[in-house]
Amino acid sequence: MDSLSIKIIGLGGIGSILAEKLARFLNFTSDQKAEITLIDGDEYEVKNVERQEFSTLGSKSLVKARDLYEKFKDLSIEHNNSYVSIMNVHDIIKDGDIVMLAVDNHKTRKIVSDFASTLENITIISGGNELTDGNIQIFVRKEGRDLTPNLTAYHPEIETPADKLPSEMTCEELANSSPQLFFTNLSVATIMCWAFYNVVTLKKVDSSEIYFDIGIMKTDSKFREVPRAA
Amino acid sequence: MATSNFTRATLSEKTVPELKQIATNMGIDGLRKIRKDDLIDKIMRAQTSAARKAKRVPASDGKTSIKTTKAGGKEDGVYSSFSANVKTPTGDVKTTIKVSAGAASGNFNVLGKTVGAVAERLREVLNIAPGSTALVNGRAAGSDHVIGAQDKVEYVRPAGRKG
Repeated sequence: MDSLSIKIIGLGGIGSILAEKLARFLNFTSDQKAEITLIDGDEYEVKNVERQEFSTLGSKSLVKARDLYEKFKDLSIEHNNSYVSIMNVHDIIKDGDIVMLAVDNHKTRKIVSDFASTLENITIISGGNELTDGNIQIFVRKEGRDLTPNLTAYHPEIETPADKLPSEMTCEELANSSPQLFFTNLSVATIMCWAFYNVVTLKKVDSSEIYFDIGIMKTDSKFREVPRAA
Repeated sequence: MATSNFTRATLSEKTVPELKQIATNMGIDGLRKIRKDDLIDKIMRAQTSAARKAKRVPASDGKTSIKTTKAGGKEDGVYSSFSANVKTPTGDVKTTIKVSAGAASGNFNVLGKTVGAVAERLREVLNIAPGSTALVNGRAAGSDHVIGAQDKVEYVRPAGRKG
């Protein structure tokens, strides 16, 4: 059986939780071998403590890689201390990868989605949230054909992002990010695990986007058609 | 509009959001900043009015039949003018369509309405973002698409930005 190549991009409130839970599943439950690469150019700082899970301060990708390596000896853990950009996306994402995208800006989602659409085989499970609600998108492409819509298809806010990459933001902009709730990050990470289990483990692709809203205590799963090429 | 059979006591036990959804289903407008008692009064009046006026359209052979009625004491407006019964092959009568936006959803009497009109009418109830892409049965639909009996309608909620 082929080894899974999993790229976790973004190790903030969602990614730092997701990495731990996914690694536990892959180490103890899944019968597939897996290599996990953790990608984030950010540092874990004291201000992150209320929502993010790391054992010590420092480079997020390195600290989390060490944390996972100590706990999950059957996995191969790599780390990459950089932000994804249009310059490096082709070095980070390879054909056949499973990308768990947990970033905090639409511009990175757009870069990853556009590049993924040029590959033959790729799976992207992308999560994001506002204060109490969020969504998880599932983009699966097999043998050059989209099985589900890419991240930009029905989301003009991702197709034409109004925000900036982390590498483009000033320290002041980074410090002034809007408040988030740990429970919402946790919900996104959990539903990304649902999506991983269905798409990767069970090989079922019967949903393309899942929404949840803590405020009304509901989830809803959608399957949307792949738009026809213009 | 299908007639309902709520008692005042049953309605009193419901929350304001639940009552607003019932009222919306009944085609009642003017729900912003309304007190619970006034909301219940409106529903009771609309129910009485609908029971008097609505004449069920015989539904058969799986065909849709649409009958014009007044509802909610309102003569005009997006929700006020249609009632529809659809008999499915199993004999069930369907009068509402699932409409969703993000995790929020509900069954609404929107048969025969356009996607654009429904978006305006349900914007507050389902928190539909302005400019949302509309999908009917998972496929992009224009604002002038008329909603049919087999349709599921979704207004795509913008993706969460944060992580």
